[in-house]
Amino acid sequence: MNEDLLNVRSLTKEYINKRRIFSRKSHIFKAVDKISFSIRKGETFGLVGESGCGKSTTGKMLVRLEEPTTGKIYFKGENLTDLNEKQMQPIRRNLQMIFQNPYGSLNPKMTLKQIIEEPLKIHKLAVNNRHKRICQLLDYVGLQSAFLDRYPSEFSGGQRQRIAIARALSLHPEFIVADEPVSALDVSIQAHILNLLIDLQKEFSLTYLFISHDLSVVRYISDRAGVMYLGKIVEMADCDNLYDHPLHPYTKMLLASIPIPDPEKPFEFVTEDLPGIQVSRQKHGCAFYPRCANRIENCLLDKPELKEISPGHFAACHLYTT
Amino acid sequence: MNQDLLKIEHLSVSFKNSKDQTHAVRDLSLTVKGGEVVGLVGESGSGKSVTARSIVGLLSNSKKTAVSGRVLFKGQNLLMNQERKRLNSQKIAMIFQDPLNSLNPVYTIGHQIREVFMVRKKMGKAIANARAIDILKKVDIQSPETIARQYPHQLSGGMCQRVMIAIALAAEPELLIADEPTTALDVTIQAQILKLLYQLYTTTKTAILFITHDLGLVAQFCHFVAIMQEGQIVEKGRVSDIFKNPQHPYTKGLINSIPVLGKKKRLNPMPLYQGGVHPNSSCSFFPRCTEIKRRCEKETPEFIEIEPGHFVRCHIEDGVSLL
Amino acid sequence: MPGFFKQIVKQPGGFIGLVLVLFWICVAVLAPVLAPPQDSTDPYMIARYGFSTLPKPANETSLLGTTSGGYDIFYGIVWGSRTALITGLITVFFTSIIGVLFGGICAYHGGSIDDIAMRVVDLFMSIPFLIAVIVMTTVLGKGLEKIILALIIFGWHRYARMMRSEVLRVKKMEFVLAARNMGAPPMRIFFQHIIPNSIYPIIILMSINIGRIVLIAASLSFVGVGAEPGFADWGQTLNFSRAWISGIPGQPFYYWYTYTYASIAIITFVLGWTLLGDALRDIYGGEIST
Repeated sequence: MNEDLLNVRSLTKEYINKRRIFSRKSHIFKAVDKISFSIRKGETFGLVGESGCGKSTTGKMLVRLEEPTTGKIYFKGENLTDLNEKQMQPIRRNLQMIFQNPYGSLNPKMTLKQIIEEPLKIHKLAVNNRHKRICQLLDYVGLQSAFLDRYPSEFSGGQRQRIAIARALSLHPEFIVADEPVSALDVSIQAHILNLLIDLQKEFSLTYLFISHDLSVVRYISDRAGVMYLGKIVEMADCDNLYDHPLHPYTKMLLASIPIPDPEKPFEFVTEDLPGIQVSRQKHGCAFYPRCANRIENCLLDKPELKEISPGHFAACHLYTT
Repeated sequence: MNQDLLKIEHLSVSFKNSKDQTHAVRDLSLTVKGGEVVGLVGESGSGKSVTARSIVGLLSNSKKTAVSGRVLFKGQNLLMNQERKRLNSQKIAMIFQDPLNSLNPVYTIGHQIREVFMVRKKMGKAIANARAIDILKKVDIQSPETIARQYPHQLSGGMCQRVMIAIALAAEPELLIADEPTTALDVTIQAQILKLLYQLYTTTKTAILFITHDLGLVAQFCHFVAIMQEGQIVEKGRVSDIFKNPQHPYTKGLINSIPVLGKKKRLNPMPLYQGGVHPNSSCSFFPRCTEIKRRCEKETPEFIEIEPGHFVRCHIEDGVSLL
Repeated sequence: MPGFFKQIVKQPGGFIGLVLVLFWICVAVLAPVLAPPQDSTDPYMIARYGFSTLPKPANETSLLGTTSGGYDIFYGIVWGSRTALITGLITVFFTSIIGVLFGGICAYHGGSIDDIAMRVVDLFMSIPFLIAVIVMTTVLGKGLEKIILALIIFGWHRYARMMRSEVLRVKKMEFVLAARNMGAPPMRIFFQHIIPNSIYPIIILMSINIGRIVLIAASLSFVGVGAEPGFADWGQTLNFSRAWISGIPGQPFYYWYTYTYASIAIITFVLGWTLLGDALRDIYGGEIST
């Protein structure tokens, strides 16, 4: 049993939105609301949810590109939230991120060589054989070293994402947050990048946090996954249990919404979901209440907590705790 | 009801820029009959959006755009200017991919729907308003009077898309062209919108040309499908035939690239396009194909009817692959 | 580099702009050859032929004629091009550096530093330019250096504002996040990532401003607030013609040569830089909106 590489406790991110300059009332927006989970060494943990659920913000907090409002992040036992920027610098090598937008994550004014070289320069790695190391990294992701003088605009989306992966690998990280790395790519390219990530994980013993809105992709690449809704984790389990025996009504709704590429299986149009309303955040009770088909009395009164319903399978729903 | 509503014949569109010519659409022929839902599937750069825009006349009119072929709507060629203006405004409607950007941000929702009635149907303001509220109800919007008074930026993506559908329906079209209508939406909202489109389809029996990159959507929603690659249709036919019996290597590759819920086996996608010279004369898929035969390098494949209604543009019958 | 010029030349306005700019640069560089100085210790004092208050048209000694006071117009135009270039280039150089660093660093820091910085910029923006310059020259006296100083002090805020909005835009881009993620120190992020991606609007502004600065300097000289009398400056040349613009009764264009040549010089100079800036905007405009 692998030990926990990453341990997240009650992580919260609040944005304060002052309505007026002289008004004392400020509107607090909880992008991430007290989430807790852990990731074991060598596993891929999927974080799945729709837009606005807070998964991207969570990913950014883990690599400290966003500062948590409250909560703790333990990396190999050390509390990252206590460290200042200078102390973080050497640790950043181990926490790398691959971003969603292949057209935005590379500096358009830098050549491929400069992009891959930069992390090596900053952390003073491979001082003697830098060129060799760069070519090696390109080789891992399937790019040719003949491309070193080219600019990002000369590459396709899939190739840019490979460059981003090579850049992330250059620091020998232990942990990589992949924030929707294939969402902007064509389907046939997606499969290549996913397979590449899987192969690299095996070769370099990497641990992934894989963020996506695409349930099928998450299942393909993850060992365990958590479902987020409006800032909270509503269900968490290993993938087989999550997808074959979902507990939370939102998870069930998500799974039912995926169109299956098989014309024999007709679309069960999700009938319970309330269409055409603007969902606003609930002050009391469960955040999913307005759209839930299985409401009981408690749902409007108490916020459900994430509890272990069966071994390794957590859900935040009153249906399972009464 | 089953007459040919839209018949595209040998459509070719190319754009000239400073370096060379891009053939966005090449020799495309497609038919949509009344009451049918036809899917047009392709990845980015396949030419599906350009096809849609050339039907409704949204291609830029510059000298750098070359269009040839015919787009017949109920027998009249839409590519000829005057006929297009007359017809288009009445019977074809289009919904776009990004709902927030497709609505005018400075006018209220109500205003934008009323505009359709007042301009296309020449109605007065009060009647147009009542019809607008009606249509908002039809697209399942609760409290339509409130929504009609709001501006696009106040609505979520899903709501905006409903409004777009409402605007499209207001024209009472015979053909609805949906250009990736749910790509920008969350998956649960996508399910809502699809359900809405399905319900509307069953009541109005409007023919729909559904453009998407998502094979899953096509499988669930369309009767017929055409698969586009590099500006050409490579396979077309009934959805059930295509999924049960895909013939073209590109179609097979696409189907193999999708991680299907429930299956954990490794994806086996088609090879990547590594760049290099693109021979225009022979098959456009040749550089990536894993099943090439002797004829493939020199001869352009034509459409072969594999089974009734199922067409493939490939040298399929030539036996075993060379690779 | 050659590709860069090719792109400019392809734009319709760019070609004309480049030609005009190069023309004036050549004139400025060749000034000692084209119009040998009368007084070698101070070539900027316009050569004088006589002290007559009446302007004289082109004759044997003076190629384009003389203005009131015997100042040679040709000399004024030729050496005035040097003045124009120096004024324009020095002013733009300093205003842009000050503005870019001030606006850029404060925007990059964000927070209260950014707020204070913007209030400073607002302060400078609210001072009416012409009045400030007049006050400065009254206090410090006439002379080209004073004008340049005034232009710098009351001009840098434009660059600061523009740089700030660009930096704020680029700061959010994912490659900046990626740089922070890999542990890049803030200065490296600023100079390696932010500046190269935000500098294009500044460069365009600089090109257009060279023309604008020269126009302002000429206007100041025209109203007598600028360089000393007799200094080779296009505005000065126009200043001398003030009394003679209306010509003589019955012949309003009698003294046309006193203002025409200088005006053409100013117009073509400003037009050249502005067209160049427009061409740059057309070329790099896509980059800005990306």
